Formats: sequence, structure tokens, C-alpha cells
Amino acid sequence: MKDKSFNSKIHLLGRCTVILILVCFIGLAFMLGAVYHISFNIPAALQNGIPILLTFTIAGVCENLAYAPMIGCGALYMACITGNLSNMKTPAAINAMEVSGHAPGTPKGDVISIIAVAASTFVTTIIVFAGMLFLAPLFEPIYNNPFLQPAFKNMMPALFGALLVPQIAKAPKQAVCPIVLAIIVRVAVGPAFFSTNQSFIMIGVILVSVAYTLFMHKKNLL
Amino acid sequence: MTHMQLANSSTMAILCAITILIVLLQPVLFVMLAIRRGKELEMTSEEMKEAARSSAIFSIVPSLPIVVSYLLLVPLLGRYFPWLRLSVVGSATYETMVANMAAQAFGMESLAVENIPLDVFVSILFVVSIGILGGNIFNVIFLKTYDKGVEQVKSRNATLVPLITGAMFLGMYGTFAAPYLTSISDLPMISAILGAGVVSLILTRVSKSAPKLKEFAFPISMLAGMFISCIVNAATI
Repeated sequence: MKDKSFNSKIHLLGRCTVILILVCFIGLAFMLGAVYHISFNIPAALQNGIPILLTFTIAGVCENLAYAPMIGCGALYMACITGNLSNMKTPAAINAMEVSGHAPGTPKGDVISIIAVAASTFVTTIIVFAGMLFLAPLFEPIYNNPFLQPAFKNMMPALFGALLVPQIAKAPKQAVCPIVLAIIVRVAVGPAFFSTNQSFIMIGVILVSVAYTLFMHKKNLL
Repeated sequence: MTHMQLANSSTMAILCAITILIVLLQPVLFVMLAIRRGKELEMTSEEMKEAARSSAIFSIVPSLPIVVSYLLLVPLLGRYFPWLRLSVVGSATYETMVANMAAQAFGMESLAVENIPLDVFVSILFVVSIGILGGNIFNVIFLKTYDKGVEQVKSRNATLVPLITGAMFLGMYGTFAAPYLTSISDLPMISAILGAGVVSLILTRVSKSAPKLKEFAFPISMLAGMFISCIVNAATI
């Protein structure tokens, strides 16, 4: 299986499975309606659903364009179905590539990334299933414990710290530009604008980061 | 039949379970393909297992808040639909926001009202289901073409790939981290970032002499950051 053949298989499998899953997602309402003889107003539902779809699509596409070269398309097809891309699937893939010593964007890195995202998917699905059966009420007091609450509130900062700090330490000259730029943009535009337009800002920061890295590499400064 | 009886019906449970099983089929097929490819690239089973293990261990902690958000959705959407939505691309914030928007668009005061007409409730489930599918629709139609472009760039600059993906990673997570990095007055938050980062650096160094530790370094660092934020929070109250 050459690179090209593997990529074709990834896209064929990705497209077929995503279409099948999307049919299931959309079909659920129709199946429910069919079983209980409920006919709902499809044009009215589409009229409400399509603007929401378009709003979320713009941010989703920006994110996919950024994630694809890093975690590979196989991992991306799966991650987009199961969600939690920035806070679970991508860190899981990046960490697995780091542990195995294969760089993102390489053929071996893509293999590791697929395995990592699949493993992450299974774990989340099992935990959510356990949550539905019995775990949610048991875990709630731990989650709301006054001493432990900051741990869950600060889970994302801890994740970013564990993910970013080693990368910054490894390549400080490369890291300084994107990190400082993102901070400047956040301060300049304010929290509300930043969070609403984070996907677009992210694409801008990534492009500047890549251009800066290539410039520094050309000048032998990295 | 009320909308909550419909939401908690066995039919709903079966439909959600079937969908989740189909969703799980996808990673099974991808893993089979990846293992075959890995063997061709002369990767060892151990390194592939290590990737699965480290990813699985890491994923436990971020999955736990999802379990709590499940409890928030149950009173509004029943037991089973939130189970499906939180197993896939949904989130508590998205589901609540979009379901409420849809309920209001169909003339309800909010999703929390009693006795939503069944046709309206099914419409709400439909709107919630389709609202977030844009990224997946993009993948089906355009990802292959985009990937070809990316592959061309990579093949022209093969030696630069690790450098470019590294720059992309820093740009992406720099943006995600910026809101936290600018909240310097929030000591528990800053201590979580720095604590996790410092522990990660220490573990990376230690794992050079204890390679088994490497796959646990990331989740341990994250947990350490979270725990440090608890201590700092308790100390500053």
C-alpha cells in the first residue's frame, strides 16, 4: 500500500462512514416520527436549522483546514464525528506522536494519530455510556466538591500547559512569535470578539507562525 | 404521550444505541487500516499499542466533565438523546443553546416548558442534529481535494514538514491558550498552566531514563496542573 493508495483508502473509508453516520444522525428524527406516527414540519425545521448549520460550518471548516495537516485526514474524519477536537482528540494525537517519536504530517505520524483518536473515541464513548447508566450522579458530588472544583474549571489551562510548555522549551525561538501574537490579538480585540472569532484568528496566527518559521529557517536562525 | 415520555422511550434508546454503534464502527475500520499501513511502514506493534494506551489514559480526565454535562441535558432532552449527542459531536453548551433557539422558533417559551407538542419536539431534535454537521459535510466534499494540495506542498518541502506542522501547532494552541495566558489575575488558572508545564518538563527529562513513564507524562502533568490549581485556590481564599 503506497502513500497514494493509503490516502485514497482513507478518503474512501472516511467519506463512506461519514455519510452513513450523517444519515443516522438526520434519520433519527424521521425514524422516531415514523414509529410514533408524528409528522413534523420539515420545511420549518430546515428554515430554523440551516442558518445554525451555516453559522457553525464557517468555524468548523476553518478548524478542519488547520487540523488536517497536523493530525492527518483519517484522524480528522473520526474526530469531526465524535467532537472535542481541540480539547481531546488533537491533544491525544499530538501526545501519541510525541510519545512514539513520529512527527505530525509524516506517514508514521498519521498512523499513530489514527490509532490515538480511535482510542480516545472508545474511551469517551465508554465513559459517557457509563455516565448514562450510573456514573453521572455518582461523579457529580466529586465534580462539585468545593476543593476540587478549581481542578475541573482549570482543566483546559492545565491541558494547554502540559501541551505547550514542552514545545516552547524545545523551540523557544519558533514559539515566541505565535504565542506573543495570539496574546497581543486577544488584548487588542477584547475577550468577546476574540471568542466569537477564534477560528478565524487561529487561521491568521497559524499562517503568520508558518511564515515566520520558514523565514527564520531560511535565515538559519532556528 | 408527552415529549419526555417520547424522549425516554425504548424506541429512542434503541435508535440512539444503533447510531452510537455505527459511530463506533468507524474507528474500528480506521484502526484496521492504520495497523496494516503501520506494518508496511515497519512500525512495531508495541509503538502502535503505546499510542493507543497513552491516548486512552489521557482521554479519561477530559471525558469526565462530559458526564456532568449529561446531567444538565437530561431534564430538557431526556435520558437517551443527550447520551447520543455527547457521545458524538455535540456538547452541553451547543445542545442547550440550539435546542432552546429551535424551541423558541417553534413558538415555545423555552425548551424547559412542560408538554412540548411531539411534532415540535421531534423538529427540535432534527434541528439540533443538523446544526453542527457543517464540518463533516465539508470533509465529505472537500477534504480529499484539500489533502491533495497539502500533500503537494509536503512533497515539495519534505524536510520542512516537521517544522511547518510544529509552527501550525504553536499557532493553533497559542490561540487557544491566549485567553488563559492573558488572565494573569486568576492565580489558580495561571498555576494550572505553569504547574502542568513544569511537571511536564520534569517528566520529559525523567522519562529519558525511565522510558515507560513517557506515555503517562502528559496525563500526569495535566492532573498535576489541575491539582495545583486546587491548592492555590484553597490558599488564596
